[in-house]
Amino acid sequence: MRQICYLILFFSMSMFGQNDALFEKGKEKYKEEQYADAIVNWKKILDAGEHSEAVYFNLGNAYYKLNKIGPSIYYYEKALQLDPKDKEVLTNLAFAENARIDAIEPLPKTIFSKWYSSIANIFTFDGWAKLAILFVFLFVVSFLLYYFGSIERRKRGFFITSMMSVFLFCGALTLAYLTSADVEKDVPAIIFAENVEIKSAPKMNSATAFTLHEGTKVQVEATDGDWLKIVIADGKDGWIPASDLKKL
Amino acid sequence: MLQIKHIAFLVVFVLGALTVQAQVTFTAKVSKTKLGINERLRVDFEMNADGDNFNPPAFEDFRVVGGPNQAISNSYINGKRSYSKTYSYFIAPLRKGTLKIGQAEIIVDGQTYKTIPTSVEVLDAVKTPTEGNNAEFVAEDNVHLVAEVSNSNPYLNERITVTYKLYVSKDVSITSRWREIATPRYADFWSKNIDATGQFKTLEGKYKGEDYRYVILRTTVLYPQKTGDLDIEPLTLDIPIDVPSTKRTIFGGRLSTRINKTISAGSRTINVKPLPFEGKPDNFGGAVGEFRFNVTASKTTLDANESLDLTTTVTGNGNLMTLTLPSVTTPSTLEMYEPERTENIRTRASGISGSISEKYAIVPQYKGQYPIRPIEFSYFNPKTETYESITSQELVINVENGPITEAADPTVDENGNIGKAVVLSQDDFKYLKLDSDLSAMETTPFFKSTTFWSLVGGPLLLIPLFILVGKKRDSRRADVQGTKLRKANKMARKYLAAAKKQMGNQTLFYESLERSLHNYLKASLQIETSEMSKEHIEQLLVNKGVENATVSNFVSLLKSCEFARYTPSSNVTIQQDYDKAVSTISTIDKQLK
Repeated sequence: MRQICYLILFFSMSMFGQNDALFEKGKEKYKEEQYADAIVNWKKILDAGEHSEAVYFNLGNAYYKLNKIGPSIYYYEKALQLDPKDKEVLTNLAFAENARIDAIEPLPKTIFSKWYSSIANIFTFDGWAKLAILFVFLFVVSFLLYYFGSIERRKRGFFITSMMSVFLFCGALTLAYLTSADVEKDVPAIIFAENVEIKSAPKMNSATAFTLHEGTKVQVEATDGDWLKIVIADGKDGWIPASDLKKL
Repeated sequence: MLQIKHIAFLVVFVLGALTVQAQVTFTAKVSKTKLGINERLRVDFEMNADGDNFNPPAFEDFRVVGGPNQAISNSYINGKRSYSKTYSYFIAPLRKGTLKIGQAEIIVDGQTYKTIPTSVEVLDAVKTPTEGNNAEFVAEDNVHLVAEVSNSNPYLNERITVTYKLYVSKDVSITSRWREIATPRYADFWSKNIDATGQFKTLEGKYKGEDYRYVILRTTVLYPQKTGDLDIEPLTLDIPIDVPSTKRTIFGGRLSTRINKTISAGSRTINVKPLPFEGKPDNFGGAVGEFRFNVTASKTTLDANESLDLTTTVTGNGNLMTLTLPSVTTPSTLEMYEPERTENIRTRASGISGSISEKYAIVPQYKGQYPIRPIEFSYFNPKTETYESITSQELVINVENGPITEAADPTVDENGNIGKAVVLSQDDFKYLKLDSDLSAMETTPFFKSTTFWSLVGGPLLLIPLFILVGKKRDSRRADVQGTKLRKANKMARKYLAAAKKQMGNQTLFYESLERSLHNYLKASLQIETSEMSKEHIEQLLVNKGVENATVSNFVSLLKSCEFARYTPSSNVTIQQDYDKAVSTISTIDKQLK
């Protein structure tokens, strides 16, 4: 039994080492401008079940160098999922988006949804969950200090702190719920087909609603067999064969 | 018959004799009164005076093939002037039956003269018009107009040519120019006539196995624009043909007669096939023929806000004038203007050849690499009867200097895509990230996990736990008070033990009680016997935090001790004072700090 454990440990160690080696190899190939080889190496890391913002970012760069805008945007968005505020990723994504064919004007947002998104986007839902736990601890500690305290003024302070904590805990928990629901609802995808007609119904011979090109980000709303219902940033929707896009 | 003719002549002669001189005659003469429907008729309107405003009849049932030809003859014979003026028409009947040629009018010296209407009888078509040696017959047999259609079953938009050839046998000749009576119109075709200019080239050829000379009158290039059966209208010519006759001039040369013949050819029906549906590419723009396609950019490296020209060109042979060039799609941030179309097309008998191109002016706005996707041009090759596609090379436009994005606009922004605002507008394309920082892809979310809920619930459970523990500690602390009290009582009793022994003897009891109290004070307050005045003790006890009531109890005890020495008291008071001393001492002990 112990031997098997060691074996597993050894294998996993060697696997991690291997992935780092692949990463380095990809970097070298990129430096030699052999972008396709670099992509092969980095993709092996993903196939092995590991990822990082750096791998996604580098893949996006390599695809951009190969003028493949769709995959490039896809991997930059992947990198942004891990770190939504990374400046390097945002810069290169802007480059890739400039080379994209579709220009879609997003729908204007109401002031409330702007407020909401500016608050909710401070943390991920896990971040909000951790914050909620912090407030629970704060509440418990301050409440106990209030309960057992003997000096009147301190007791009052602890009471106010504990009540505030309860309030903030509720707030953080609500935001955790809301943002996790948002994440569940948010199924972004990138168009991979060079040119795809968006149909008004999930049938090949139905009318074409509009046309999209490679690299455009869409939201998947529903699935029907091999067809996906998508919505684009300006609010238009339609059906697309599932093979023409890739979910993030 | 003969007699009637004679009589007619006689009448005419007599009339002529009667009206000789100064009499104006205006007559209509027909070349024949009976003819086949395929024959022609000559009508002469003759007058012997110079008239004005000649007004021919309507020729309702005829087609005017030629004329009017005007002939004037003026002769003096023996001093006598004879004048005649003739208007001649060649007419062909349009239907069978007895047809009427109406009246012609002329004004001579202010007077209107009219001809007598004449009628001719039109019979069935004559197979061999009159005798074999007849000039018309010869002309018919030796001049042929042929329309050659290159392909009577073409595809839509496939080129066909109609070549009009005039075959002339060696027996007849054409020395003067023909007239075109009906020019064909090609309603459902794109057409272009290529006329032989200047002198016709006479070529030798065979017509039905015999040697003929021929000229190519005209070649028409046609591109059908519709499918189905399309009619081509015929070309009809009126040709003057010189037919040599048997008569000879005095010098032995042969005399020839000129015959005007109407011949037409080329009434055809073309069956246009639709292009095959199978294998038709999505981007097919109606091009049929053989083409080459390429896309070129005037430059591929430039700065933002400079312009470049992107040109798509189709070169080849086919329906260049009607095909649509594939459109160019470029990234949205490249500003592209409407294309400028240039055509360089020549139409020849072999079809339309040349090139058409569309030039797009493109102005990039931001820095970066812009791939322009390969453009596919598809056409139908009627030779191989298949669709063929040409894909251009992918072009990459490299914009070296310029902003990446527009300057951040706070009103448009904040659309969830916070990115645009953050990116500096002059940044360069970032190089790789060098640290791998790998982590497992599979992550379970922390929120709603068991750990999360236990971390939320756990602390809350701590509250009642702590409260419970606090309560227990409190009760234990209360217990400690009890033991302390008990201890104090014990101590007080120890001090008061001597006094208790003397319970029966009043004086001794109070003496020992006073001593015990003093001993207690000495032990607990560390004071000397000399300092034991009531006021000092009171002061000290109050300072040590003992309550006033207890202090006064203590003082009253001391007082009663002094008092009892001189006054006798009952056993009951002794017992009371003893209990009071015990409780006071234990209370003081408890309250002392």
